[in-house]
Amino acid sequence: MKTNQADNAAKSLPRDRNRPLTMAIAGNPNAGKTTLFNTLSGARQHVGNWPGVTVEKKEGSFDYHGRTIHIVDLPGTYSLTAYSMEEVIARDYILTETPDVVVNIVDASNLERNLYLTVQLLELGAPVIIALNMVDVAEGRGIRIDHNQLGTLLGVPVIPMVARTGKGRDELMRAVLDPPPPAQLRVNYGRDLENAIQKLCGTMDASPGTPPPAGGARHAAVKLLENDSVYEKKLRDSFGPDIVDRKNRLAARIEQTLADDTETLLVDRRYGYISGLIREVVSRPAMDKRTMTDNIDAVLTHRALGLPFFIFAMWATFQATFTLGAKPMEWLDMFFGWLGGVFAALLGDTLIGSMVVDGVIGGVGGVLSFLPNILILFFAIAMLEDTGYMARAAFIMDKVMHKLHLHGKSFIPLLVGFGCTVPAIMATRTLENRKDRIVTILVAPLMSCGARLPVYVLLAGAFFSPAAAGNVIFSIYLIGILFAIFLARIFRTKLLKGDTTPFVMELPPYRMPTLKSVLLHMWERAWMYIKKAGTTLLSIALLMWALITFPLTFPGQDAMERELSRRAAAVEQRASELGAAPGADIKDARYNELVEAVEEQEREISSAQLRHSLAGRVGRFIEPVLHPIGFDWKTGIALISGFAAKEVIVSTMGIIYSVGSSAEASSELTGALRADPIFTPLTAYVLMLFTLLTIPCMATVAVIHRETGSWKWTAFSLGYHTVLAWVVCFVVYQGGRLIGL
Amino acid sequence: MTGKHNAATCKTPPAPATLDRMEPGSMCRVIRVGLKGPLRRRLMDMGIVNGAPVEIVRVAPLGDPMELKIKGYLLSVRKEDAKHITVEIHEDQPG
Repeated sequence: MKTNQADNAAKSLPRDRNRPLTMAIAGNPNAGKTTLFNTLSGARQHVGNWPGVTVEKKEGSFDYHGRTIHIVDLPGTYSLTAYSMEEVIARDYILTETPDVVVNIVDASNLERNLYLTVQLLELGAPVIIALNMVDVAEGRGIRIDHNQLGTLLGVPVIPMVARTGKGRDELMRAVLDPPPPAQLRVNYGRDLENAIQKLCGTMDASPGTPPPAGGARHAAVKLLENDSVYEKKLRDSFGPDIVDRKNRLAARIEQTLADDTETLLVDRRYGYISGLIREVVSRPAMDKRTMTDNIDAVLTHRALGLPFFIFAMWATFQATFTLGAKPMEWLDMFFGWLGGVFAALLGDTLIGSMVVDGVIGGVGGVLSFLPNILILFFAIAMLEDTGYMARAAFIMDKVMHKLHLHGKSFIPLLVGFGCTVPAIMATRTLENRKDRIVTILVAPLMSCGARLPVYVLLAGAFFSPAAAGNVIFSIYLIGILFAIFLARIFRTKLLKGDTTPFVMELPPYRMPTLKSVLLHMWERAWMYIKKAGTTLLSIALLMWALITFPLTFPGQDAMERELSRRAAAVEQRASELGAAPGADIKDARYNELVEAVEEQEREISSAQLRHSLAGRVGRFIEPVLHPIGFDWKTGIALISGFAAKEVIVSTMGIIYSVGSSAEASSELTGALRADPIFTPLTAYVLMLFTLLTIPCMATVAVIHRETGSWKWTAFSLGYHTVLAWVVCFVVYQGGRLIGL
Repeated sequence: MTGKHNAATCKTPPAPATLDRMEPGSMCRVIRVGLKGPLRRRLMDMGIVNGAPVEIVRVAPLGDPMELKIKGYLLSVRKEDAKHITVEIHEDQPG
């Protein structure tokens, strides 16, 4: 194994000027990491995940004075412990990938806490350059920082800058091109702790065959005394269990003498060291000026005004997403409709034509038509995040969300779910804790989305009085919310227990977002959605198309088609009798009757085709399972087609009941449903419940997989939705029958 | 418990209390962070260390969590967690 020291030694040799230089950006959340990353890398960036986890990894590269520089944006962290995935990723990257330089971006207006991470980076022995960001904000508050003195005390270059405006960028890049040697900071932890550190270092040095751990023996000793689980395991593996036993004995003795555990003592001393630094390099006014943030917060988190403003902000986000997005969505629908028409004309009534038009354009187009909503929603979320309001929203809603065993930040994705589940699940990216994210993703589909509304409207309209229909639909929404609350609790306390999110959250200062960063933010997420539509969704759409298309022939088809030609001929004959050209606007009762007969026969044929299609067979195959909840195979096909998109349930029922799928057909469909003996108000209600609770649409499933990064959770989501839907519907249907509904 | 009122009447020594009982607008100093594991470490990493001065800025509109000013920045903490943080009350009000 190559050690850190060996690497660093190699690096201090004269460097090959042509070799690309790797630069990692580390820093606290809200310190300006993303801004710096965007300023430096421009458009050439790549967003992916860190291997094995769903923590976002951003990389980019650019040329500076003829040198190619590769930037890696490390997760924003406050510390480098083993407790959070982000922190482990950041420190592992620095230790194992050994970037040429680590730019630690530090918020000058919040220096003390920011330096806490800095000190740990320096203890790690990383080649650190400090980018002292937002010096303008600090100066505005009368805070003066002697950056030269800070650099001297820490032994690393400190470059003052303003990442937003690009001020100090060149100075920073000059420092990056000439990376500093590995940092060598030794915080004095006091006699007792230093003694223990020395002894542990001695144990490590005394085993000659084993190289010292990456980051050096002292750093490893400090981490051991912090009870860092990752280091304990690492050191036990290379030095044997004795080292951990020794640490435990040393720690127990210190605890006796100093009446505090070693982890606390180390953190205390580290902050103590920083307080000393601050005293030497920072001069600030005796009285803190009331900041802009204080003033804004006095209104936005006010006891009485905070909640109404929050509700307004959420309402505005929701409205913008779905009202503002409605028009472009229509245009996209029209565009795909037109595109479908073009290809239909081009390819004719062939199998390929049907595949391209109904399968590819219909399927992917349907999914892409959500793009305007997604763009607007992510623009709004980026605004909420970049201004700093998102943290306030979580602050205001935390009490409610905490009751569900969730984090305050889960509120926004769940709210968005009433519009569309796809952006809702993507919005869970704002949650830091993976378990919170997964629970939110699991329950988000229970927030009844807009696409399910047409199904409710059809069924409630057909089987309930206009006065009752509204309440019926409302009850469905309410049941979804109640199940989400109930299941979130269960999932969080039983399935994903422990590791409850400490709601120890920074409320960052309010900032004016830059348009560039908001747009970039929005685009990154939208692009992921588009990529998904082009790959996974395309294949699912084709599968759905094949299910309802094949086989092409069915028993009795010839007779039905002969009948169709006979009726078509009758229409033509009547037209010629009247002396009119076929297709002209003929006002003749007999003629219209004949035309209707043709249309009826066409519907009969597509209905028969669907009945004998693979989907129809699947519908029949699953009928025994559907029977106990009051459905037959026809409902089965409709529900299967709902996997493509929930509103498709309505149009599929149109085809099954041979009324066509056009808008005018909806009243006919209502009549057909009422005439079907299988449908009673009870079955209609159960069908609404099933639509609410069952597997979400394919776009949602694809996004669940994308965002959980796990087939296991995707499968769990599918499984629990199926079971939940069936069990609830069974109870309601059988219960309803028992009381005579 | 009326610890708050008692503290207002006796000047020295400052009465120990828990952070969750502090009124918005008051100042205190951390004496001890109870709790265990990641939450405790997170609080300490965020600057809630022994001796750190804390200003209680406000409580969220629904009564929980609370907003603190510590080391010059704003931090929100749930009351159930703040309960485990022992503090001593500062008589001097923030400027």
